[in-house]
Amino acid sequence: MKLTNSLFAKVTALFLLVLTLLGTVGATAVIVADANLGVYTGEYAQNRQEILRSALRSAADEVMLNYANGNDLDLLYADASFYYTVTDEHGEALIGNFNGEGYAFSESVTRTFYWEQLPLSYGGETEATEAAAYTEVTEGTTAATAAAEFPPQLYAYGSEIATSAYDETHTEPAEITLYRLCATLYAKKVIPAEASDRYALVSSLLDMAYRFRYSSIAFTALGVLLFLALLIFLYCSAGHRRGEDEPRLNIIDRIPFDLYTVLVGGIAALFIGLTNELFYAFSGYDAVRAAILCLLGVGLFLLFLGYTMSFATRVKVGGLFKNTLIWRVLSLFGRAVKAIFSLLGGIPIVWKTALMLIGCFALEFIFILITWNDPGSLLINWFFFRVILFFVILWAALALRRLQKCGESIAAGKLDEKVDTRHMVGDFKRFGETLGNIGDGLSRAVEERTRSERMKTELITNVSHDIKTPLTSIINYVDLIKKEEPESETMRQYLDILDRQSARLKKLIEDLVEASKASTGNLSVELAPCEVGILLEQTLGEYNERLEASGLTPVLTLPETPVMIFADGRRMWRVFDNLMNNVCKYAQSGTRVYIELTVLGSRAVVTFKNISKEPLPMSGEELTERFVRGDSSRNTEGSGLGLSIAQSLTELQGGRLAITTDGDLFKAVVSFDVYNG
Amino acid sequence: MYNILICDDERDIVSALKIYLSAEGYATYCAYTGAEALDILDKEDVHLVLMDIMMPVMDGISAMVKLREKSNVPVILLTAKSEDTDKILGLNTGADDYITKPFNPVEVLARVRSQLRRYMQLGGTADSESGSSYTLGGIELRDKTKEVFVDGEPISLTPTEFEILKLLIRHPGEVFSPKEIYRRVWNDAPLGAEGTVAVHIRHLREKIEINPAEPRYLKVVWAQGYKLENGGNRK
Repeated sequence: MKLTNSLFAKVTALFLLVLTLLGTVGATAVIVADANLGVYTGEYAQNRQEILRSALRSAADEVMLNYANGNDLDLLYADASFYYTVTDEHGEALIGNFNGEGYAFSESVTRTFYWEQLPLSYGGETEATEAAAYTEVTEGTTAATAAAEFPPQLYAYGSEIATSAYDETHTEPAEITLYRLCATLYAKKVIPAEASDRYALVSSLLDMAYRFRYSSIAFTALGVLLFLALLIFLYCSAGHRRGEDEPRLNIIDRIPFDLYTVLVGGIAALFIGLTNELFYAFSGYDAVRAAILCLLGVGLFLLFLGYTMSFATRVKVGGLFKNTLIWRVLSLFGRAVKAIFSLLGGIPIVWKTALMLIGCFALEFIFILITWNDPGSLLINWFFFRVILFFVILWAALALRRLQKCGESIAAGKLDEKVDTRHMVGDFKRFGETLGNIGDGLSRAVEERTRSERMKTELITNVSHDIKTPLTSIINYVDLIKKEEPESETMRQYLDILDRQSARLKKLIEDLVEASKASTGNLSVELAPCEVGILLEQTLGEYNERLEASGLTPVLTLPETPVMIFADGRRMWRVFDNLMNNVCKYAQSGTRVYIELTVLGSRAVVTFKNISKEPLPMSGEELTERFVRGDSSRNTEGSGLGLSIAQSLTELQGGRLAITTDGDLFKAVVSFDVYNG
Repeated sequence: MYNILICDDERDIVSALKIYLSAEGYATYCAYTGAEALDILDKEDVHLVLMDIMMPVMDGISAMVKLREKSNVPVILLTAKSEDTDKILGLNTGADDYITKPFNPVEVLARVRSQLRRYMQLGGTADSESGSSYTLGGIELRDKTKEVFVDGEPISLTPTEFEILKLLIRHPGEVFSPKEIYRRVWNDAPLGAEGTVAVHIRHLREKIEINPAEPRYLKVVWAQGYKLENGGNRK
């Protein structure tokens, strides 16, 4: 079991703590006293002598007082630590037990006493005739060494006091007799053990303080350490209970912290007040007073301890600030404000604006009514409202401008554009965030599409690789069968078909991959200046035999100056390759094919024109759609992807390919911006 | 009698290639993974390797890199990958030639023959020029006798084709525009007649290339002109 969870340990610690506190305070007091006495600085002997002399003077006062009051001095001072003689103002010895023996040192004190005869009228008391003795306690008179200077002042001073005392308390003058006494005390060399006078007490206290001058320091240090250890233990154990792992709040800890603080402060104030009262009530009883002070100290300390332990528990459990009245009030207020705002937020914007405007107008109207008779205030009021209105409308316009800009950016394709909604409120903020979300949604959609297109291309590429392997076997084994000298002519024909169709399949696969890549832009394009004329000549050179085989005559028209475009030569070759391939396949045999390069404005335009051998049932756009071809040519060679690939590749390089048909005239127009270096 | 190692994970393709190569009189070894191919290469005396790229256990590129650490034997890659980047990767990592699937058996045989001839007989000659004889890769042009040999086989060219080839082989890697070629070969101003250059080039290509659609030497630089370079050989 953990010690912090034990109630017994805690109570013991508390008890020890109080004891330690008292002991430490005592020890500290000794240290302070020693320090004042100069024990630690080597001035002890001198200080001790002064204090002892002062104590002896006090004892002398006491002796005189006792004498003035008629007490039996012999009895009182039989066992005293000093000898004494009392003389009157003329030096006549009145009483004394000093007979010239050895003494440590002596002190003489001269004092003025007055006997007051109270008048009979005062209260009609019988004690009126009794003598009341007053001591006069001014510092100056106790200085024995200066006694010789005093006689004249002493009289005057003494009578003054008497008069003022008389004025305050009596309505009639009293008869006053002044008396001067002088006591001389001789301190004994050895203080008797039974001596209980002031000098003996002071002497023994001084001895004790001296004796404990070092041990008190050690004791204080030990006490402070123990005190701190116990305090820390108590703070650690605060809130823990037997058999529970987590600290828990008790009833007191649940009191709101600020309320608790005020309560503790009140109790402390009450304690101090009560002690004050008691202190006065027991004036004169030093022991009782000391006990009361002690009790107050302990009580205040316990109060402080309880307060800080509760604080520790609260900190450990958490929610120190939440469990305060101030917090509760504030949070209630906050909730109310939030509720009002959410209520406002729920109202449609038109209604909200109307309400706000009506409120504004009403307020203005009230102000106008109030200041109706004072044109100056009216004007100031009008101006004030206009200024506020000016800034509010300007602010709204600024927010609108920002929203507008963002909307325009998104519309222009900058999908990651965001509105800075930090300085906006309410509907503006909401709209700004919505705009941002639209942008996000759009860019997500675009990204999604790009990715799916890329995946599609990858799929087509991978599948085509997988198809190519079995196709290789087919082509090879068809070829091997052909080498085996087929038995019949029919078989040879069949093999030819197989040969042709597998070749067509091969072409189809290659076209498919290329079309897919070109249409999704998954193709690297290295743009550089290209001379279109050379490219067309090269293309015709490549197609020379095929054109001849198809019975077509190419007619190439080039401008006199070279025409440059900014494109990728290899990709451009693929475009013209596909277009020429198309021409060879579909142009009417025996006709001319016109290939023309012209510059129209800032565009370089290449036109391919040929006469189709079949009627063209479709529009140009449909012809470039993937897999679309004239129906009647369905079973000829090719994939039908040629035009589509040509178009995608052209667009990838920033050009345009337009297909138009006019009767049997088929026209393909490729256009690029002219490159001017 | 040359030994050829065929390596492909597709057994039917290996068998077909074996039939073709055996019919031509070559001895063949068959492997179905890159690792097997390396095993055989360690044990047997192989003169040429036909290798697929996509194979289990060890792919063709890795196998070829390993092989190149100790052997100079010609390697022809066979692959379904037809992208330019794949070809460049293959040629850069040590292949001597590259055939894409589906391939034409005749083309395979021609390329095998070409590689073997150059490897065994010409000893993998470096590009050189001596007197009136010019060599580039497998092409040899003898100016005095007006003869041209490709991989040691004589081919017949028309005088124009010969002049074009001579111009290009004397400046390997340099791009000549059709106009330039016309001016240098015909010794005439190219007044719209340079279109014929493209036709001659095409004919020339058909004569000196195994597969004119994928030339090893005479290359078209689209929209610029033509050049002759030794592209099918490792450097």
